[in-house]
Amino acid sequence: MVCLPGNGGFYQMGEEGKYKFPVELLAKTKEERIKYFADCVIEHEFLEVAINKTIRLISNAVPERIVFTCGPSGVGKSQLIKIIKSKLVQAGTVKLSDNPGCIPVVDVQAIAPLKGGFDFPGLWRDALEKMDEPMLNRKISYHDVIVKNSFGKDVILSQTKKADYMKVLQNTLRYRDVTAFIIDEAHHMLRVVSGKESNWSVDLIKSLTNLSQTPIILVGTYDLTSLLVDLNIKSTDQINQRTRIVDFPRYRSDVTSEVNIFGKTAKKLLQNMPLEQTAENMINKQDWKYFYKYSLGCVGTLKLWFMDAYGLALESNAKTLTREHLEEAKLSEYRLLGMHQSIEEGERMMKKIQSEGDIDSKLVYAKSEDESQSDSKKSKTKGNPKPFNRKPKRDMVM
Amino acid sequence: MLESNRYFVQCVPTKLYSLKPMGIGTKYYVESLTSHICRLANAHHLKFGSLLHGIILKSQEASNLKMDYRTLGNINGFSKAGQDLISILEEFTGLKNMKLLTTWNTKELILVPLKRYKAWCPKCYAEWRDRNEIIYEPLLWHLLMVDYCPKHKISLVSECPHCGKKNPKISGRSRLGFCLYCSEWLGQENNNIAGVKDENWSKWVISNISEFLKYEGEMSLSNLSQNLILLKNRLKSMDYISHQSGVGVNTLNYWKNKAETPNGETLLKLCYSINTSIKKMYSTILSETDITSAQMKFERKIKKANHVKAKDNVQLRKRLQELLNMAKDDMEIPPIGKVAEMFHLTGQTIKNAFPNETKELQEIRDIQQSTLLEKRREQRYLEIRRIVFDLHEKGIYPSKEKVGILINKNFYSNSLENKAWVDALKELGLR
Repeated sequence: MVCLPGNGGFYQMGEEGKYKFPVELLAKTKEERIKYFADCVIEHEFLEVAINKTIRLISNAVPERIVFTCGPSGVGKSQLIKIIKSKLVQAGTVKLSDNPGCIPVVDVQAIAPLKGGFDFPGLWRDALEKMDEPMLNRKISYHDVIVKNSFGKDVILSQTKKADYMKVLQNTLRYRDVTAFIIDEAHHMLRVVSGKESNWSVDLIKSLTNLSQTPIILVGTYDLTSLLVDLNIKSTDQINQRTRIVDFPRYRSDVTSEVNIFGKTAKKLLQNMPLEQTAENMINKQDWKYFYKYSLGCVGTLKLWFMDAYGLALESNAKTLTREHLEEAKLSEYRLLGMHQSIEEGERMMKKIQSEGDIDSKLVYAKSEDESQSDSKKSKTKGNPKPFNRKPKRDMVM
Repeated sequence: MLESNRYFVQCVPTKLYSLKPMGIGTKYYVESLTSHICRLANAHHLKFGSLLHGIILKSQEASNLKMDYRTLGNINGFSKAGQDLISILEEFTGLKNMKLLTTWNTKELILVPLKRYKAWCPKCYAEWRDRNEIIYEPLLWHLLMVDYCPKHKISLVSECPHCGKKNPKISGRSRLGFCLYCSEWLGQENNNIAGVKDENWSKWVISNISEFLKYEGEMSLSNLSQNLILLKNRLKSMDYISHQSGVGVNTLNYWKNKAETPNGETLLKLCYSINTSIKKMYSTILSETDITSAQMKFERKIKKANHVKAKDNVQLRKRLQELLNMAKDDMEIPPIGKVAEMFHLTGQTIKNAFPNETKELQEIRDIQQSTLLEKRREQRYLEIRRIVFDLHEKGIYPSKEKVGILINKNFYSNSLENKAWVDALKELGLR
């Protein structure tokens, strides 16, 4: 399906099946055509699955939910956020009649710190600015302190202090009835000075979701998973209970069905490239590997590559996109190697987190009556093995 | 405006939070506009002054609006500034019908003056805080004629129990529930808060005025005028009504001729005397039953006034005899005035009717009272001594002021309290 933002939803495009884009675009300037291509969102299976799972998790009746949506860089996470936002905004219009101040969804980007640890107050401030919170520099908060007066009696005294941005954000999220607070590039939050603080940063997120009663979606690369591994070791149970992981993987080259989807998505992308003669025929049974190789199965990377190539094609006033354009815009193999390595590392980590583990061996279950009876029978019949009798078990092949 | 929202759907979040007013639909606890704005500022983590000058007064609609805190204090009533402010707030918060937080429907019908300073029920505050509920100020607390909390049956307080200052209705840095000057909590749980003089009257006022403010149907001055004409025709004359209700005859005539907007308190007095609500006076023409009930109430009053002669009153004689017997058993007896009140008479009438009995009772009571007084003085002496010793033990110097606050009374140099204080100090070696 082709999705276009700005028109209140998603719709099929095309003119009599010839073009998948509005024909009038061909007469427009290069910038407009490139912008159209950049804005066009192609939904593919993994994207749809990740979107649906994320929305389902935050729509559950657990308001203090933290959802980690992880995927390799270039898999299309920004598109994912765009679509999640549009869907939540559409769903949030119902709330507007009850709360006209409602902001259905807020997304903010965690900016990598120049030096030292991650700047959380800066992130909270960014979020508040996104919500148009007025007079951020004049925020105060009231505190009640119990002091003894001159007679030794306890009295409650009101004190005014400069407000903490996190507290302001908690309030704002609650009053604005935000369905989800999305933090993009959340892996930047892991930049901490000491190991202790990585735990602390999740605690901050936890208390934010707790007090504001708003689900938080952390979107980032597989680096985010290191946080979850740390959490498991440090056994911060509360967070583990509330945390859910959504994997948004790339398409694997060794699975035929995934290769097929990847090919179809690439084809759709080419069909939506406003050119006189669309270049979807470049992708065929032999050449898919070429496209896979230079995008590593990530649709986001593929689109960026296409965009660069499309720019070149428009510059040379070509009627269609050619292999030369693609060759010129592709990434070097050395760089791809580096990217591939980090993706594989992330995938391994993800696999580890999502593995079943060996929890059964740690748990002792109460036995049902049948089980305990059969156990006692077994013990009677079997007893201890006689000396010099081998256990009935296959030997290792040397 | 939030970019993503503008981008996808036509929904524009309001500039300020859509903070719902408290107590809408309740009888006595509808929030006031000043309280709502204070809460709005608090929700935004701003001082009220910042919200007012930084956001509200900067809007285009507010260009002609000049607001000082004195004008703002009156926005709970029906004022032009209040109406302008409401339209700005409704735009900024997306709320509707914010006029319900003011006395909007008194316009051109009745004068409901507002208090000059804040008043509050300390027990309501304490209760809300204990239950972790939102602290706010109901509209009724701001009306001059309301001096009573119907829930706790105590009178409203307008002076800070800690510093004794009166708080302005609104100021740039006021926080609900706290004194503007000493920043201390205004809620009190103790039971030494005074009640009101006439509870029935206070109850009547608060229930009537709240019913009137809540009513959204049609009300008019002509209904009041017609009702007065009706009453005049049915109940002898305007003089008669004036005499029975205590409202001046000229005032009644002005109201009848629609020449004057009635003052709330005076109108309530009339309504109280004829047992009709003010809402009814403005919204409908009084029915036959209403007029009969008014007539009966007047007649009852007259009957009370035209009582049988005091010396022929058997019950009164019996009561006096009872009191004499009580006095013989060393029981405390009430003053003659109280007995007279119960029989709707004055003390002098009883004294004239039963000179011997009353004289005897008075003598006994005098002796009883002097003994009681002596006992009380002794207690007070001991109490002050104890307080002085307590304070000294805690390491606080037992100054006259401190002891005065603890016993809720300032004492002079030649009083008993002073003597007790001096004696205690001497005993402690402080003097």
